[in-house]
Amino acid sequence: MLYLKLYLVFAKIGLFSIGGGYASLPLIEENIVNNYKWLNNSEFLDLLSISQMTPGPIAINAATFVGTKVAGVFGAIVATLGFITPSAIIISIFSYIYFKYKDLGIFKSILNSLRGSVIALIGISGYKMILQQLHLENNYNDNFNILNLTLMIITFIILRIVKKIDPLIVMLCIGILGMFLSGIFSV
Amino acid sequence: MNNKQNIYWTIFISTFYISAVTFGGGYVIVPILKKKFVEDLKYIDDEEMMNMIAISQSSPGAVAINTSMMIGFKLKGALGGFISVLGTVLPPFLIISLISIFYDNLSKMQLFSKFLQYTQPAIAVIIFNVAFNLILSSKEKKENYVLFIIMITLILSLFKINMMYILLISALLGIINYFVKRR
Repeated sequence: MLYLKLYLVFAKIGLFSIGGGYASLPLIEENIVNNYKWLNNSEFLDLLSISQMTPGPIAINAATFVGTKVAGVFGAIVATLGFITPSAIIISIFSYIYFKYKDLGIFKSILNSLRGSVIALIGISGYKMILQQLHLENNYNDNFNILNLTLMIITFIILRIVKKIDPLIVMLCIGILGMFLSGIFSV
Repeated sequence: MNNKQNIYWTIFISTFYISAVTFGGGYVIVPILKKKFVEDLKYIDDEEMMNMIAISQSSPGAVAINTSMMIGFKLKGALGGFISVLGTVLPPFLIISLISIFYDNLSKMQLFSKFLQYTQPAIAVIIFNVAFNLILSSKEKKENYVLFIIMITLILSLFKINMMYILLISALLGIINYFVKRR
């Protein structure tokens, strides 16, 4: 039963990817490429570049891509449902507990902790991305990216001045500005 | 009745829109969810939004899906949760299905891919900025315990400790703090 297999494999990936996209990637590769051979290496790389150019969580992209390739549209639906199932069960339980007991002392205390940690983790991930975009993450002498630094400074100024601005509008404008400036910088 | 239908529609259309325009994965979703559900719709306050993201981050699966599900649950129970997951999953599902069919023409997306490449510096600063603002607002509200945990997490991640363990340690500190304060 191919459908059942797709469902179960993606349910397994869903269950064990804790911590978002970067956690699910090695799991996807191991199961889809190595164990079940639903994609070969170059198809897996295609999947990665497609995922970077399309919206949404990478695991959903993978489930749709693999499902379609192996068993058509219905395969894509089954694989996607498989990935969501563990989330849906666990989040339902957590939501129930959260909305019922969120004002209970001990829960409040745990949530305050987790909230603090997630704020810090968000900051760290932004910091790492900034270094990466400036090409500073490696010790060897990679070219420092002046254009990206310029774009970052402009973004920061916009965010500090117009506090309520929609982040999507900022991304759109900076993306277009970047394309425009890269033309000038390269001449 | 009309109002009731409206909120389901709002949940669906908001999650669909957010999912359709959120490129790049990771924490990009945080400032975008905040903008939509906290600032524009005012359905949820900042603290609750961060609680939900924290719970989603500590659960299996994709953070974007988990957080949308919790928002749906909060607003309209199980049906709300179902609708928000549908809204979140549909855009990538439809787009990847289409691409799987026209898969040979990837090179045509080069200009778009270049555009996305230049959104990355903006996304990096936006993500950093959202954390920066949250730290400032914790400071303003004098949430000393939250600030303490932020410090601890920063220190722990200097030692490259896996995020799972950081969240576990953090939850444990929360339990300890509760019993210390009660005495």
